[in-house]
Amino acid sequence: MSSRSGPQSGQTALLFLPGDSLLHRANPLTSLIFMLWMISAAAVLPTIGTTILIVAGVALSFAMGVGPRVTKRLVITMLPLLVALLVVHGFLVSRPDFIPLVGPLTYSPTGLEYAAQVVTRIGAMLTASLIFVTTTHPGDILKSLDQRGVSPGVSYLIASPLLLIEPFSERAKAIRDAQRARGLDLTSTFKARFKALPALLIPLITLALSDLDHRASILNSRAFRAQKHRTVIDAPPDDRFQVWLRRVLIVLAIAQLGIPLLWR
Amino acid sequence: MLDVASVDFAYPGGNPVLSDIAFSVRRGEVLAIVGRNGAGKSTLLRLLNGLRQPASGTVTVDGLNTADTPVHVLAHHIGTVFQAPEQQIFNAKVHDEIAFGPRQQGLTGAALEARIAEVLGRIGLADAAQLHPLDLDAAARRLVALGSVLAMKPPVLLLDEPQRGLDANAMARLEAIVAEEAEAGTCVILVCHDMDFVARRASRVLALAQGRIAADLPTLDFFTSDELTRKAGVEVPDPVELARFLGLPPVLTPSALAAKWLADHRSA
Ligand SMILES: Nc1ncnc2c1ncn2[C@@H]1O[C@H](COP(=O)(O)OP(=O)(O)O)[C@@H](O)[C@H]1O
Ligand SMILES: [Mg+2]
Repeated sequence: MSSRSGPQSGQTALLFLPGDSLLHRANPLTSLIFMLWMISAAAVLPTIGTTILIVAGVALSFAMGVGPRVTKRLVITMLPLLVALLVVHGFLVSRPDFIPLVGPLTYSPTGLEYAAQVVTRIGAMLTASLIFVTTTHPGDILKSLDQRGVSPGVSYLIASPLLLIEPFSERAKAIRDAQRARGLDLTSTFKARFKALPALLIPLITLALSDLDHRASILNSRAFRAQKHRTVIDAPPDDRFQVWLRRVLIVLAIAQLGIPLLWR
Repeated sequence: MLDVASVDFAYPGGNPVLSDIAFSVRRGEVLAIVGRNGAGKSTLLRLLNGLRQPASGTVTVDGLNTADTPVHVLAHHIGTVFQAPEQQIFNAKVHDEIAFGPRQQGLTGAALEARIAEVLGRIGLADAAQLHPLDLDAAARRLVALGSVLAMKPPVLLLDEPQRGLDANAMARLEAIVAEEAEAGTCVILVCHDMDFVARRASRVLALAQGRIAADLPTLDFFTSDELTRKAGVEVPDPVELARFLGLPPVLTPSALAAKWLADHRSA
């Protein structure tokens, strides 16, 4: 739909890069379905196919002006996985076709083949996702769902995790700044960083929970349901245990997301 | 105490936010930074406490160049109270929240407890020491954030919009604390949109307009210049206007105005 620019867009953890390419201009739903197609192709193709998919995907990303960012993320994520899988399946897991290499070292062609298959499959799926998130702003997905007449409540639910990333990372930064300005040391030893964790995570979690509360109350409010398109959601049964389980899971999810953000 | 020398700054990939900023602040001064939204006030505070580094020029705090000093070390020399206290409160008790800063400075035992008790008294929350900070109302929470910084006894104090969200009671506490700190020789710098507060408490005004210093004057001189207040986009406090209307010498506060008026009428 629309491309975005401005001083703020490059500042956040969003991978989105403003631009004017074909994919930037395409409807976000088209991009979404393109990504889903690529992922499903990666799921069924043999190694040679997934390899071609990666090469084609990276070429596409360069054509769309997001090549360096996609490639960098791809390499950072895939390289450790590639090494680990090749070592484990090529040399360590015992297979019938072990062939002596040098000295005590043996290797297995089927093991290597298996590792290559897994790595290229995950790599192709990751490439597809990266192309999508670098060329589509979450806010635009929300708008185009609205245009399609999808109920505001439902599209809000779909897009809000994506929209949350931006304020979330900005807030993580604000919290880090506030605590450093109070003397919190985030630069020295691992132990110091570890001890600093509560000062960073507790405000983040507190604020995120109050946000979610706020979001839930918006969804429940009349303004949201009084729109033209309505969805009747038959509320499934719920109980206190599930409520608490969800809270714990949210806290864990926020912590897992938050730690790399805060330590970056 | 604090020295800013020909500083320029731009956020990465953005337009210049601050250009050619230079000023110094002495002990015991209360400097108000005023200006329209987006003028660069918060950015300037971030340059002072080392969270951002100038593109050119230098910032010196208590003899330390911010470019060579880690933020958490600088924090012992310059305390910052941010706009959103929720971003820094993380302890389950007001007492522990206040203790956070002094503990970082190595204070323990009786000395630590004495420091906490003193601060709790000053912010008027001695009875709330064992409460959860998030159970307090917004005004009290802001005072906790202020207290947690006061407890470190920094020689320079930065306050970003400290009056926002305070009720009359908390406001009186804040004003008293600003006055006490200045009296004790702390250099207080506050960003503020409440011009009555500025008129009552600031000794000097630094007005920013489009990232440049539009005025750096004693408070009275600033508010009596129509050109400068207009350029900075701030309202002139009522007593200043009223004094001018009545043909009295310029004043900043209602009580000063009343005194002038009475003096005028007695002599007449
Ligand atoms: N993190 C940031 N990244 C990019 N630009 C910013 C950032 N923070 C503020 N700005 C820009 O810098 C200018 C000054 O902002 P700020 O210092 O917050 O002004 P003030 O506090 O006077 O309202 C504004 O144009 C604002 O958009
Ligand atoms: Mg501001």
